[in-house]
Amino acid sequence: MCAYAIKASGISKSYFLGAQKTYSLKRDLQSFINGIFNKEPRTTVHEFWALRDIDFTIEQGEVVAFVGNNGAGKSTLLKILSNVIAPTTGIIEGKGSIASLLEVGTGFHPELTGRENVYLNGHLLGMNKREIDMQFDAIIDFAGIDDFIDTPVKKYSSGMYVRLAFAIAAHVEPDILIVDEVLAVGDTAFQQKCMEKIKKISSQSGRTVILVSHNMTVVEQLCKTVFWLEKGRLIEAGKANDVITKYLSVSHDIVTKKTFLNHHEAPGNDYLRLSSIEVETAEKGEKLFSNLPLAIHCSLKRISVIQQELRFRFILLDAKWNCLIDKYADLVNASAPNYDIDIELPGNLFHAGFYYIYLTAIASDGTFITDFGRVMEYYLSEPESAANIDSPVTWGLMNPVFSFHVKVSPQ
Amino acid sequence: MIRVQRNWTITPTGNSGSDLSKIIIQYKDLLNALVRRELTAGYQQTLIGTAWLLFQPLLSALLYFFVFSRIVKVNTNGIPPFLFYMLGSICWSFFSDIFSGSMYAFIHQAHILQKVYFPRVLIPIAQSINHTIRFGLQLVFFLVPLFFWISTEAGHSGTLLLLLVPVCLLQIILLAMGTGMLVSIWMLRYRDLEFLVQFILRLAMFATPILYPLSIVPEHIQYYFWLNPLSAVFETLRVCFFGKGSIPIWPLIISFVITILIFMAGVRVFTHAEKKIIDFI
Repeated sequence: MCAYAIKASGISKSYFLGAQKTYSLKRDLQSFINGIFNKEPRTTVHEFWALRDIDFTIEQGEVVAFVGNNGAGKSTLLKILSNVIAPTTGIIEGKGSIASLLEVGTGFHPELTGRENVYLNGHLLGMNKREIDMQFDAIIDFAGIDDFIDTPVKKYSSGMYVRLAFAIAAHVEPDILIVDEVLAVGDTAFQQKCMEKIKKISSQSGRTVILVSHNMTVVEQLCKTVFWLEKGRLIEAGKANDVITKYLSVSHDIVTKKTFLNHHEAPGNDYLRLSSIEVETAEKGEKLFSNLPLAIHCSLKRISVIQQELRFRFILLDAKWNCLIDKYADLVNASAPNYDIDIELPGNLFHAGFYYIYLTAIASDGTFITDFGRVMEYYLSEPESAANIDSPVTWGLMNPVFSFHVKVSPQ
Repeated sequence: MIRVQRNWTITPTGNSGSDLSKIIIQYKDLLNALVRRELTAGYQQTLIGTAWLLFQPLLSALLYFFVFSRIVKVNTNGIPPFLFYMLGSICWSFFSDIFSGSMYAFIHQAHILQKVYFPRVLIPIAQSINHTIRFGLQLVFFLVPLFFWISTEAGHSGTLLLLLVPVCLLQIILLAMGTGMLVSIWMLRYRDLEFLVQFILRLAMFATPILYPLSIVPEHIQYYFWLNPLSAVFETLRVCFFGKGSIPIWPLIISFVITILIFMAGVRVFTHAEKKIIDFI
């Protein structure tokens, strides 16, 4: 079954930047008069292409994501798909009803009650009254705010507000759902609920979902196909794993080894500077697999004399800025000119995903010596055997190997 | 679950079409919700709430009464001055509210328009419905003293004339929506227009026989007044309610034709520009 849900060909979008972004009567009159006298216009028009010749086809029932750096044109593309803005050129053909969640709680009015806002927002998302009536209890239940449904939403806590807004969004049931980064709201438990919902929507009812997200872990878990936009052009499309790995290695300058020859560019200050850092696993290759022990080697140079002993602090964050490790090494003598730090993290510690290493040097009396900042970023890949798109969503920060058996006995 | 497959296309020039009746039927639930939102949100958290709806025209009528009837001593041709100004005041605010609501359709609702799609023309329509409901309440408030006056006065020439009232009110709605929608599109391109339009709106209130009857205007200038489609509407409304004078038939017909043309132009310009214009918000 290869029926397409959306087929886009030759989509471009241009904006006029600079002088004529907003028109003014004076300027138009001026250019009109200049035109009469054949003068060159004084205003410079700068045309900016937010999107350029985008072609893609999304099949029915597929979950796809658009990835790319800020300003790559992802949001512009979603707005065009949502029919909010018109493309400059190109045509998009689609089949089935479409609903877009470019933000949660569009149209929410603080003076209206939760109930009234559910209907208003639901209608804006394209549901009719009968559909909302049917889903109403499920929405309230999902948001967990039954007691407050007839209270004006201005009295809600921000958490309740977001939960109600998302609950409506989660119960829209179009053939094609467009989601822009809304997964980044709410607490973790609520996010998980939403992820499960998106998975369910696509797997059970064969709906098409189009996502934009910066969170590669989410994209990798949810999507089969990923489109990579860069400066308004579609530069890569294909299987989620492949595109994400490529995207991350380019966009984040993923290297497993950094060497700084020039002191002034190296992280650090006038006391200490980084000279090289490397991450590797026992199995040498392009990818770092999450099931293998990870070794981090780090070399530092002392620039000027430090009077005290010092200790190093190692911090590991994940892509969502959860602090996973914050650990101090033992005090060391500060008179030596070179330092080598070796860290070995066990395998099967964390999930696949993005990780950031931060490094700080602190004197024995607690004063700060050097903050190296983020010295390295690396991406852990799922071991090949486990890379299964049907594996359920997980929000655990850790991924240890441990015994977890379910015994099924008849009767 | 089997759904009817609706095919759609998005093109650079695509718009939702200008068939208003089709749009209204298809989006009746959303329209309903938008009207409710405006109605509920309007006077919340004010001390006397919805009563402002009735106080506002009452207070302006009082003001006009003192200035124009007591100080300037405008001759209202036997119509009780207070009722004269009350009618003028509620009808004028009816016009100017719908006009502003349509004119600011894009600017005031920008946050919604940039996030979801629906035919943009629903906003001026919702504004018009909202203000028509408010006007309806104000009209009832006006009709009570009017009927009291009619019952004490033998001079009313017949209630049949009241049948013309809905036509006049429809004209006010269509004219306000039409001009408002035209301005809303131009205003996004030329922000300077906003101030000019605000000024013209204030000017229009004095250039229309609202605070004075057209009969006190010198005859050779009266023709210019008929160029303003609102003049015939306000004159006719007064004849209908108070039964004094005669219906300006030809000016009313011409005004009706102009109104329809402006409304159609407004809808056309608005629906054709609705997608492109989002880039200018």
